[in-house]
Amino acid sequence: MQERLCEVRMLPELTNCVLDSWNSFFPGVDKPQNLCYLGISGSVEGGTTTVLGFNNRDSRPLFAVKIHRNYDACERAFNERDVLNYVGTCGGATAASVPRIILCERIAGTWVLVQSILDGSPMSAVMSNDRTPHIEVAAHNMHLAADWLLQLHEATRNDLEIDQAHLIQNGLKTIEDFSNIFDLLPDEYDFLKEVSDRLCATVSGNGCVQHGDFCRQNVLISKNADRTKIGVLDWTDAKLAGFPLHDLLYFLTTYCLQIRKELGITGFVNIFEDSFFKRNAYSNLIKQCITSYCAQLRLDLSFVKILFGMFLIEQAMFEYNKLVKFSTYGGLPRFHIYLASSNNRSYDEALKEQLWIYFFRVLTREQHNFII
Amino acid sequence: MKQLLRVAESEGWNTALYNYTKVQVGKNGTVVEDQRTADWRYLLPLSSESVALVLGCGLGTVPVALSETCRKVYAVDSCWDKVAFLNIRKKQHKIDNLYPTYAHDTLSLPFSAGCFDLVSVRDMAQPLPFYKTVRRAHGLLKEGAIAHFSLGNRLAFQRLLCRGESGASPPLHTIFGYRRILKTEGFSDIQFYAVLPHHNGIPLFYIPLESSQAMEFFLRNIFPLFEMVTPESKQAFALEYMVAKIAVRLGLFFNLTSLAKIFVPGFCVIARKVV
Repeated sequence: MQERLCEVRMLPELTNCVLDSWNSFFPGVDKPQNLCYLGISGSVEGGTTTVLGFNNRDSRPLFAVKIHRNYDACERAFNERDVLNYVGTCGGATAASVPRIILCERIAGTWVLVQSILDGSPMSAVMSNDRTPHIEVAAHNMHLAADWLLQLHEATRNDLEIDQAHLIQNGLKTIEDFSNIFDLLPDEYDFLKEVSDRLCATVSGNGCVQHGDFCRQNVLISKNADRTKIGVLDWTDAKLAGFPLHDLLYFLTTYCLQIRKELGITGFVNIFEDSFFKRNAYSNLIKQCITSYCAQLRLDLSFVKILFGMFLIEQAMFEYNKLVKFSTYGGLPRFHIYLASSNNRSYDEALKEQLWIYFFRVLTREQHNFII
Repeated sequence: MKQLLRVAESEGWNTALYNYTKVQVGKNGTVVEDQRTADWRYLLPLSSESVALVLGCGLGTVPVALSETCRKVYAVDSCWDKVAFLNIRKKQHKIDNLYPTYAHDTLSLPFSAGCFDLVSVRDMAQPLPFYKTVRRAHGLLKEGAIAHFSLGNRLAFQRLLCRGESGASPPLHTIFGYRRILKTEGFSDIQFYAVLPHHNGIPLFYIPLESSQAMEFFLRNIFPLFEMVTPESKQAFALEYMVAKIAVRLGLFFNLTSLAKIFVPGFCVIARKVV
């Protein structure tokens, strides 16, 4: 039986907790008399809701509280805390670009993560008339993102003993689960085998901390004099050890999905094909970004297709597992229902409806046209 | 709803809810409820011994969410099918502390006075004047207990654009009218939150209306992020967003953000019964 017998006075009790320890949580900041909260629900499948804490003087929030709704709240809160604390110990610009953990506790039966506020606005993208992103803006954004990821990689690769065998073992298990859950064509099984066979070689010495949701909406940009500063938030799905290129590929794959011109699944697939399988100025930009990034990592370009396949497989399984977990609470997210209704899927089939499987199929079908 | 019930009994409530929502989404509609519908519970001072009353079952999300933390939850609706669906959900999910109850209206509830720690009022099939609902909720609450209301705004800017909800709805009031009625009927510590994009769907934002700082932050930093939503969402809310955008820019320019609370789509209200 799910735990029900617990006190639930969450925000009022959190307020008392924060105010009681104010000076240690926020040294040098005047203690407010009271706090009020602005709630931001976020995506339902993410499983969290966020509230921003304000005093009665400033229109800048003092801290953010992430509330985990579901039964695995403890595990998720601890995971995010551990990754952020680790990145925080790396020091330098990387540590300054992530939220500081102020409190990770079970307050009145609810797991909460209180974090510092990062400056900046989410990275924005602009679409051109030819249905690809504006090249100069995209180039600038990719440079910022790739640069930050390289810093993260450098900061976390050397100090962290990454259990490569464990990473590969998990990867192979993910591939196996993927092949069992999704209905695949013979070519897709062949590609899976190729990814599986070559996975070990791709990892060698190149695993690092993985953000897990490194989309441009989670990258905050602020300008300080002549410097552009980056902040990266939402580390809920982060891992201490992940496959190389995962976050960069996530950034590039999702970069312009929300500003696409075409509606429906066709719009998503067309953007994906334009980005990675067709020859145009935008795909050329992506190619340069990936090539340069791999050069910095000393990663053989022949591994990129394999790592891209692994990335899409991981995302597909992550999304599927998230949906299965989420469905026990009732209903599916609108987007998944939308995809399912477009293809007249039953409930069980709807659990497998998601973008990543569509993208995986495109990669398998168009791999001879892959830009790298 | 009849179809929903039939499928819930034969194939499970999950499948029934999926089929029901699939039809809505297929018609370019929205998901009616999900877990976020009950996020307001984090704003409340509840206890593990709390006994809650939810007026308006909806599709069950709110009563089920409250049943995870309260000792007992009674969910009442004047729509028999909604009560029946919640009952199926309760049985299939094995929720022991949830009691779906049918009642013709809020004036004929089978409960003693002063027995609830929380009364949450959402839409009911047969709406009553607000003061009657508040008076009834007041009678059912223990001393010092909490009422939660999900309310539409008479001056909501969507209504002013003639894009309000269709179907029966209770007579609406402004934020001032609701506050006056609540005070008159014996409530204090009244907190108003603006619920966006609407009060009777899935709320994405709760903005405390007593805090001009929070509203200012929202209008300057979060509201512009609508530009980042999907093309489908932009299409669905194109006119409302355009009007809101103009109003927000004017409000920020002339320092009139305090007026925003008058025109927000709806409210989440939390009030305490006076001891």
